[in-house]
Amino acid sequence: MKERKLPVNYLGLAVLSAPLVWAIVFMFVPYMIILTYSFWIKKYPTFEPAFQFGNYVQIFADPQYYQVLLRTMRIALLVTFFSLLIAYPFAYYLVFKVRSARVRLFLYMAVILPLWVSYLLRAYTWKTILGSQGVLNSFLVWSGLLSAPTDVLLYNQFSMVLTLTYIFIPFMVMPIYTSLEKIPRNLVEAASDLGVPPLGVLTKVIWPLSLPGVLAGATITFCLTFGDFIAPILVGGPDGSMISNVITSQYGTALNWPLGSALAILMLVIVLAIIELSDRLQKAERIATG
Amino acid sequence: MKSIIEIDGVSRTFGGKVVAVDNVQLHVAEGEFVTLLGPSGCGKTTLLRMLAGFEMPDSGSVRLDGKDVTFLPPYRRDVNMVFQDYALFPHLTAAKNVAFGLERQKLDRAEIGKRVESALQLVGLSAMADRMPHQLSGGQRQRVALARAIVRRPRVLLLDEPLSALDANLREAMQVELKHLHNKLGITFIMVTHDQTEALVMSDRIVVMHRGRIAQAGTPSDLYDRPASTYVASFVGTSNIVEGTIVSVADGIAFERQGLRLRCLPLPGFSPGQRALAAIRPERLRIVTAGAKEANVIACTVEERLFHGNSVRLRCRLASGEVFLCDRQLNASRDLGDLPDAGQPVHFAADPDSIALFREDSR
Repeated sequence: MKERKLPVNYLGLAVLSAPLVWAIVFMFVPYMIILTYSFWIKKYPTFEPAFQFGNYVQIFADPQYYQVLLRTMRIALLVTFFSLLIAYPFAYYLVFKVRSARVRLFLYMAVILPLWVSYLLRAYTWKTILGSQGVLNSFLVWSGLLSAPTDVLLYNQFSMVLTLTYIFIPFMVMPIYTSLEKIPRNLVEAASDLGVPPLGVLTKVIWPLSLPGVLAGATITFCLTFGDFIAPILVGGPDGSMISNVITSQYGTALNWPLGSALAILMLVIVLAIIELSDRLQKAERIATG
Repeated sequence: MKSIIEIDGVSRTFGGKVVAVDNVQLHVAEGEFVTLLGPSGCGKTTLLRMLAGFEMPDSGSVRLDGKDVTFLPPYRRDVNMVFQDYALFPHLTAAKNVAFGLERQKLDRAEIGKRVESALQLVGLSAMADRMPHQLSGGQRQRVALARAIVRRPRVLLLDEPLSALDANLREAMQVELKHLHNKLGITFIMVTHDQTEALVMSDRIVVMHRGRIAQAGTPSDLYDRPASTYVASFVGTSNIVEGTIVSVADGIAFERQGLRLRCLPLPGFSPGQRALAAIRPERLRIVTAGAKEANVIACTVEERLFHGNSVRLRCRLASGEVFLCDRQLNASRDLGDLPDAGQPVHFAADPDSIALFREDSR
């Protein structure tokens, strides 16, 4: 379709100017600075302006970096997978099985409410649950299942996936719940009427129609996990550090801003690519179902 | 004839308060076209949903072809339903929608394809097989819904207000088409509607429902000509209803209402002094001159003259205050000349056999 040309709308510009200035000063300019840095060269003890791709090459040549990137992706995928595994049945149960609107609201709020609690606090809570002096260990020793506290629960990828799944699950529940709620009940009845038992109704009608919600939830959960750097610090341990932690250290102790910037730009590109992909899938879905 | 559906003493209450269906007894013969007719909230849809298995009765039993299906889930019943807003699966093509119910049955692909094709052909939609529901018009969606319901060859087809979403012209065409389809398939149709014309045109038998109970069941002409209550008389077709007193039962019944005296055919169960209701169809009234020698002459004042195209309706008022309607078919010359205008007095004649009398408690 042809775009309609609008005359300069001064009032619109005036209204938009504040957020526009904000976005330029605090987003666009910093991104440009980071992008510029990513081409510079590190010359101990500082860095010099340059235009070369050495930093990017280094990311893909040095296993230290690309393995962290792969690990971050794997953790993000695992968190997304487990969130979906828990969130979908929960949302399904809320929408299709809970009859009382009040009980439904209560259960829904029970999932959403933790978002009001500080992220830091929620992540820290798992440290006190999983630690060698923690609640879980105390219980296991007390009940006689273990003779001594174990340290396999904390400071590894298991504890990270567990903590991040717990933290990001509301972002998975919300869009899935919304998309399930939008499915007309008579479609479920129609499928049942056509001789399809409940499990078939779930796989052949409800699941395909809730895919937009699943896609939205998965995208948000993946991207949030991908950029997380608090959980690795609190519960991650040595083999649990993620790409954001590496970036932080490049700006801090490692003192290699150009490499840190290149990593940050790469991360930005990956996240944008995932959002774009998700967006296209959503559009295809919408065209297919009208 | 053999009963395919036997509904015995079925009741259903919602939320412990609202009685939707109240002790309904209904047997339907194999191959019959039965319409459940009534205003919204009369329980007709709940009754249909209990046949489909979406609702379970609190008491009573539902038998299908001799088998008790009262508590059987929908997917294990040999009935299929056409939903009010069609309930087509938005993510599947028309053909896939129709095939949906066949994929569970143990049929090979070729057989499924053949049956889908013939079902779509039956509703005249072969060309649209690969369209998505949102690419189809309302009438086409309705046909897909129909094809989807009949492709499994159910013993009974349930139709929940199937034509209510269509515009007037299409609705009339579909009424005839559904009737043809019923003849062609030879299976039992149970339709729910609030549209009396639809019910009269299509059904073998109409079941008029009122507050969860069956008010009257019978053929369309039974219901129209011999309504069992003023409720049926005014819901099926239009009736002028006048409340009055029986003054005599010798030599036919005489009914009186503030100076209006009506002679009716003899009918048992009435006695002088009793309160009663008289119902007269607007099209059974003839316009006569003031002093005409007729059994019943009714004097009114015309309030409005409504032109209906093929007929004219006079909206009049009796001296006692009731609204009285008279329909006059227009003849070939389409002469309106002898019809009185608004504000003028008019006299109607009503033959004794055109007046239906009801006891006051029959409402």
